[in-house]
Amino acid sequence: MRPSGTAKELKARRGGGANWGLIRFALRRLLALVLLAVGITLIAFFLSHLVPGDPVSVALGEQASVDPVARAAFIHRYGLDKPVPEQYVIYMQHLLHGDLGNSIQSGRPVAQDLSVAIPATLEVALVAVTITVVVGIGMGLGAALRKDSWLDQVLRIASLAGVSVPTFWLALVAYYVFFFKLGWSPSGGRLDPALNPPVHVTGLYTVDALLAGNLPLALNAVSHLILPATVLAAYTVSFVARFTRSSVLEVLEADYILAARAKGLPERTVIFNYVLRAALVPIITLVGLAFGSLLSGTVLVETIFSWPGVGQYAYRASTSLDLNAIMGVSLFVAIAYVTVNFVVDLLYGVVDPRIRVE
Amino acid sequence: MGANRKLWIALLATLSMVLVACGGGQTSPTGTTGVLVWDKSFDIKTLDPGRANEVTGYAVIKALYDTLLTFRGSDLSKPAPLLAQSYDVSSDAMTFTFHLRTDAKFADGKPVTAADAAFSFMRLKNIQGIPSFRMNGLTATATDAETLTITSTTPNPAVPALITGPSFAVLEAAVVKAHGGTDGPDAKTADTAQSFLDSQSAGSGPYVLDSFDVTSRISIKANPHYWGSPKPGYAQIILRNVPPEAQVLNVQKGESQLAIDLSPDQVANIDTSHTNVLQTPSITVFFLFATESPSVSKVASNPDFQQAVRLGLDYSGILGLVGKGAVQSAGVMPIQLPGHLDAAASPKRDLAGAKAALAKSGLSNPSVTLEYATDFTINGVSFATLAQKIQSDLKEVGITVTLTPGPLTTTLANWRAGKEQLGLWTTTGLPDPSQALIFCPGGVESLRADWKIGMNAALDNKCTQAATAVGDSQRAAAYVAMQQELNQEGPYFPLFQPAQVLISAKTVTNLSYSPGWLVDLATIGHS
Repeated sequence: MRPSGTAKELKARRGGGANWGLIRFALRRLLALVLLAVGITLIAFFLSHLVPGDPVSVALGEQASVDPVARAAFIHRYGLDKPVPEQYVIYMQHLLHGDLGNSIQSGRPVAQDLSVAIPATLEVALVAVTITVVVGIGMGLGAALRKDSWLDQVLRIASLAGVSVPTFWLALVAYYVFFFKLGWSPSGGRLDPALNPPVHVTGLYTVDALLAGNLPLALNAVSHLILPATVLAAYTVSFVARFTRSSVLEVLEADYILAARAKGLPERTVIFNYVLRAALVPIITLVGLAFGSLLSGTVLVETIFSWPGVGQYAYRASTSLDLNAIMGVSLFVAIAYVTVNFVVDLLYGVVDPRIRVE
Repeated sequence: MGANRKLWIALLATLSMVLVACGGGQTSPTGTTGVLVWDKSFDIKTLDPGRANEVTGYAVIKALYDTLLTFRGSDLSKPAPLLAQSYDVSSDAMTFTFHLRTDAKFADGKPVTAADAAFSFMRLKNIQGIPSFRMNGLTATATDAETLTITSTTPNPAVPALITGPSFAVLEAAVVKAHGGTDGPDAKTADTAQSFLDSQSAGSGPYVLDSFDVTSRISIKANPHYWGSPKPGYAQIILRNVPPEAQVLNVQKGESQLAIDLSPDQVANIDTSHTNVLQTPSITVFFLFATESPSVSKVASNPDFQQAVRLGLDYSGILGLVGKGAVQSAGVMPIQLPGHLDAAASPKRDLAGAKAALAKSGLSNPSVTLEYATDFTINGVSFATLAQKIQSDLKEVGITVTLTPGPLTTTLANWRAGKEQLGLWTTTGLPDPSQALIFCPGGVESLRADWKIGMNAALDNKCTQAATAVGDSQRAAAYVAMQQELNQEGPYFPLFQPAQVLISAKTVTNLSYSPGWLVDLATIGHS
């Protein structure tokens, strides 16, 4: 088959202009990220100040909050005695130096808190998204290839149930059944109670345990990951399965699939190289969004499984008007979404060369 | 391809077996190896006694450090000796002399001296952390190696009870100083010992700090050189940050041996053949109040309206909502403290009396707002449920109550600013009768209701008498008289003390509720 298109397009397909295009694309995204981060800080900062409330009383507790010296010291320490615009300018100056400020809730630097919470969430999110991709795409593909069969009906009902069931309820039931009744899953937390965490390198317990050469600890961390990750994945698996089914069905009716089959290509090659690859673009978008959502934390699931992640941290920050922590989480979520979208855009080009050309 | 498939199957099978083996299939190793796992919903920032102000931290600090005096279990009638074997109080309640025992030793074997106690107390005062207010007006001095003197700028009979608290833990001065600690006037900026005290303890308590993760886990280990008695009951105690819903399951399953953040409803159907359930009144008092400020509400500040509320509340019905173990409050002081009112003095509903009082008020179709927080519960009690019950009770009297729920940060701000017409709150604090003084005119609570000194001369007098009384029986009598007057004249309607629920494995012994620090880890043991 003779390739068609202009010389420029052909060069692009061969990768000649791809690198420079990619760099420009990445720079544009980086600029957008900076602008977005500034916008997020601005909105989060001023919205937090619009909320009527008294973070000092919440932080100090009933007895200390009535002591004028304790109140004054606290207010001064966190700069709450300055005008709001000045507080924002100071915050941004510190932010430019990588200082996210101290958390009112924990009394520690927000960056330090997030260095614990983010890996905890990231670890469970990575497993959840892996389950989502493998199971979701597998279910959707299976249902599409056996359209209207009993398998299709079962998978459709399963995915409908997954979308409909509230995740926190599923978490409670899963904990009750798999931990309490069956004993297949360990209790909550990232490790068994008697085990000390591995030395912090990445914050991902499985990775850090392996880096320390402690395989039993890594396996214990994995065993604690499975149930919360599966619960988190239940919703996203269902969505991905439904999208995959409809997307694959659409591709299956395309002429080039008919041509591939007529040419005598093995069915496996047709399905994985032609059908699935063409159907993947909308699925990648969905998985990217799901991953971003998982990274921003899921409060209830993290609470039920005693998982010290971003969701729990964000919840505590918001209920105590812990401004620096709210800002830190907001920034992280914004950066996570932009990064995930960037990766998704790159993946578009990998699975569909036409997008690279455009 | 066949080989690949077999390889995958073998890998998956191996992984599955390993996961099951290292997962929940294993039984808890803790119960039989001298390790206690305590599930707790964390509220903790630090284990530095001078800076900690949260209940979780209190419980741990009391196990790591000794105090001069302490309370045993839920008995708050009189502080018991610990590092101090006795103490004297001057007749004006302004000088307190503590005589320390000579055999107490820190975990490293060094003796505990009065100088260590003085350093700890003055550090608490000068670092100006959140709990530093407890040293307001107090100065600690070591007279000799075994004698510590605390002087107060005003009569303060509460000092012996005050120093039972974890904030007054005695630290090994030399160790803390070696890691950046200071008790000097510049301690606010000069003291840098917090990070050290969050990684290592410097006390004489039955346990020493093993590891501390503020978000998920605290591990303490038995102090092999503990000087006191009883000796540590466990080789290791692990606190895990676990939500209440999972705590019940974990204890029943044997994954943990102690849980404490539960409501009576959560343990109503628990299997007691393997689990001990203790339900006892918490030290927290729930109360309703009405503003005394006509500018905030002409209705709520009307004395006859307040009497109608007092008589119109269905106290027994409210108590029925909050579960087994709760008790009705006769006054603002919890029943654990000397000077509390007898249950016989508890108010009872008198609907006819309430309607008569309302008629006497001259108010026509009175309407008020009731504020409460929606985003937190105490001992499993929902403020929303209580508010709805109060609304329903007062509707029968002829009072329209508009519920105004809000997040805690907002309702706290309104409460502190004195903007609430009716408010639903709780009180807890120092394990001493003086805590009730905040309800006296001009007290912290009263100012939120705009109730000032001079508005009730008789009550002002009784409050002063209670504040300055010296001697156990004299103090108790003065506080009883004060509360009786408060119940007659005050804008407060004490409701109940909720149940404090503790569940534990059958192997846990000597477990009791400690109002100041939840559980005395120093004294619990296992069979």
